[in-house]
Amino acid sequence: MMDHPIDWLSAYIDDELEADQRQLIEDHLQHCESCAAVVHDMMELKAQVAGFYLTIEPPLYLEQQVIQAINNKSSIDSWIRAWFAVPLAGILCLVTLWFLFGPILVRLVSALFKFVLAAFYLFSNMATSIPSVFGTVVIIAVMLLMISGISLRRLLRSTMQ
Amino acid sequence: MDEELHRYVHEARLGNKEAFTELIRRFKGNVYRHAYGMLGERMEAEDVVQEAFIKAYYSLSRLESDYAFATWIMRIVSNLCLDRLKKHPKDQTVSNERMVELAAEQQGNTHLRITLEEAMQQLSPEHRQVILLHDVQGYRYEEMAALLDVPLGTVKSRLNAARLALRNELKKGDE
Ligand SMILES: [Zn+2]
Repeated sequence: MMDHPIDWLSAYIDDELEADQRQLIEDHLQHCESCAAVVHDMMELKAQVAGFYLTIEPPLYLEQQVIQAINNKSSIDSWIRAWFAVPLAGILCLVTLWFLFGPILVRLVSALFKFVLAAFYLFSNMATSIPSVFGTVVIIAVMLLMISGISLRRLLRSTMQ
Repeated sequence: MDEELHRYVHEARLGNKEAFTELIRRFKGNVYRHAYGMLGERMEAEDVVQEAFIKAYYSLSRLESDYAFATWIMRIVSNLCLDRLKKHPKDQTVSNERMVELAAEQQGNTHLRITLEEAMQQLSPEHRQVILLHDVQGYRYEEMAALLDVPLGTVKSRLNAARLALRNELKKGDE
């Protein structure tokens, strides 16, 4: 008599054995009560599992939920794409501008820089040569700052109370 | 596999949402049943099924053949369930309340046992998986080997061990 073919019993009940293996198991089951009992239990379990889980039904609204989730996701994706697209387009514009008008732009920028420099120089010259104008501007600026500071404090105090 | 289904898969791959909705309608039963069996909880199962179909929608282009959809979606949901169970291992024992309930019932001599569903939840995820794929989804051993990406011999021994474990769990309740 062979050892109990306990490892083969599942394949036996699922009809997944070669003919000769199957014959061996069948012969064994003829005179082995314990293996026969296992086979009996396994077949019962198999039927119970199928019987129980096949009654489980999915929710009715499931496909709507999934499609909605996909729609939401794709609209978020297009937003992200848009957010990437705007700066990208800007950079592209600058690059093409640079390629088309590069030399002119360089001259334009350096001219602008010189102009700003000149204006700054002029202003500082003016401020030192006409101290009264400079002094007046500074006093007005300080007064404006104080007034806004006081009104801000008053505003804060009134909202605190 | 019928031609109509083939057409839906084909259309869905081209981005047709109507066709994909039809695919969900057709497969949600099998997919949900598997997720429920694996996770043992309706809300979680619903969650995973949604995740599986969304994942499928975005990777449809990688599906090798229009005819492979059924196995493919089952593989996706199967893996998602295992991932989830690994991330949040469940309390593998029957809840305390239920134990008290069982003890009380036994004293009252009404011979109550843990249910099949409770016993299933006591098994390891891999054991539960093969039982569900075979007995509920109806896959043959060879198909399961392909779906799970394991040798045929592994399927054979795993399913055998899983059934013996399930039998043990149910016998425990008897003692
Ligand atoms: Zn035996």
